[in-house]
Amino acid sequence: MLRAHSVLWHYLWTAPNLLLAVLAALMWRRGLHKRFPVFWIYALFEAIQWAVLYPLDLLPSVAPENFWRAYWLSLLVEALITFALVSEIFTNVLRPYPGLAQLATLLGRWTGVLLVIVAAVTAAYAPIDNPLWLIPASHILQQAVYMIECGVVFFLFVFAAYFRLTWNRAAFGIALGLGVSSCIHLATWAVMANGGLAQRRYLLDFVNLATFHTCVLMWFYYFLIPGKATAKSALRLPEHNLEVWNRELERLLQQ
Amino acid sequence: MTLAIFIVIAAAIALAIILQIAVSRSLQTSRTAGRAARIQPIDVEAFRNLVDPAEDGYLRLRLPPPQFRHVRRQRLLAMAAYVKAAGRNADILIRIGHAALASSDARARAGTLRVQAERALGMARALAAGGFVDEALPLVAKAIAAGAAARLAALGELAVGATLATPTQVHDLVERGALIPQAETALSALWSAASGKAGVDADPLIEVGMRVITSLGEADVAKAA
Repeated sequence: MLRAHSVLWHYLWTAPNLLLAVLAALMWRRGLHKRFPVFWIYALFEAIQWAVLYPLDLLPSVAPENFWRAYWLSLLVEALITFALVSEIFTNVLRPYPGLAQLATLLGRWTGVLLVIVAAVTAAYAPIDNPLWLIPASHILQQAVYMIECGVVFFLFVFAAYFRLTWNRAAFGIALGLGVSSCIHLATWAVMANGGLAQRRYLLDFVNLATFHTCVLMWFYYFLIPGKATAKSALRLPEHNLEVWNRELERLLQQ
Repeated sequence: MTLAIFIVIAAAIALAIILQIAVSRSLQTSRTAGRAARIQPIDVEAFRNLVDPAEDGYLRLRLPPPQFRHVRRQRLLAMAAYVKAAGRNADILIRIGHAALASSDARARAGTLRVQAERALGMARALAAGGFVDEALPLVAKAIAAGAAARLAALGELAVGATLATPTQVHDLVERGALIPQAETALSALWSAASGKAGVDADPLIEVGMRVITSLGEADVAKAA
């Protein structure tokens, strides 16, 4: 069951990507692609990436070097789209708070620079332990990309929690999915890049595939299932308190 | 491999914090209704007394120094508790404001679109009564599409800048039970008429348009969701 090319492996590689294609189509129908254009591109890209890499992996006529070349190239594009996606979430979360946007941009930039340095250092220490250098290079690249992504998403969550920012439901869903996937993928790719679990790497593949599947389902949930109507909680405020507060505020203003 | 262990531990901690923030946010959302009840009443007169320097001066004169220091410490602690409660109340009020702003935005947008739909339908009715059926039909289509857009706006699903629902969105709303099924049928008939494929009677279509607008206030949004 937990082997490459088993039924579960095929399912876990195929289902989330097909679901993302469906999500992209639904987003288009509902006009959500205008609100989250980069996420829409990301969903589409993941589906296309699967449509290319899956047959390449299965076809015996395709040499392993060619598969890994295609994989490497798709990783680079995926990394660029993912960073653009994180930037889109940042913009979406901070749009209602122009006063905080400047501070967040400044801190975000420094966090990004620091993460790039840490990612470069950790990548430099990772061994190239395979004659086909593209394989360990892909692992190291994944480790570096997920390290930066995980760090930036983590920063966003902490920043938003510290300032108690109100999230848009869909943006929160995207960020949560990215956060969960980047943390788990970072851990698995770090183990792979540093030569861990040499004989049982397929287990890490399953962890990665299952995590991605879970995140896709999470995105479906946050995009397609409307949240609880906060309007209904139309909050009855204790008027006597507000009266006292207003009176005190007026007194202060008159001083 | 040591490096990998460090990275795995860091990733696990980051994941735990992200999930904790996510869970606390969900709990906060589900407790929205109870927010107002969490506002703590503050006795402003008592607080004013605590921060009054004259009161401090009086106590300093009347009490022996050790006792005064003790009382002063107690007063400062009480003052800090008041400030903390006021800060918490301000946080709750800001959150209530955000929730109200978001909901009123959606409601205001839905209301504006509903008015547009009503206006288009009124004009269509006047034109049809005057015998200008060809001119009335596009306005009926506009009224139905604007009505559907109002429903989408109320559900928070209308794209920014959109004022009319697309045929796909109308179909989707009908399938979800958020719009009366006749709306889609009427739109199909109106498009057929516009392309010259079939002649239509304006009155039943205007009637459908009216029912679409009327149903905006009645349909159960939760059911549609």
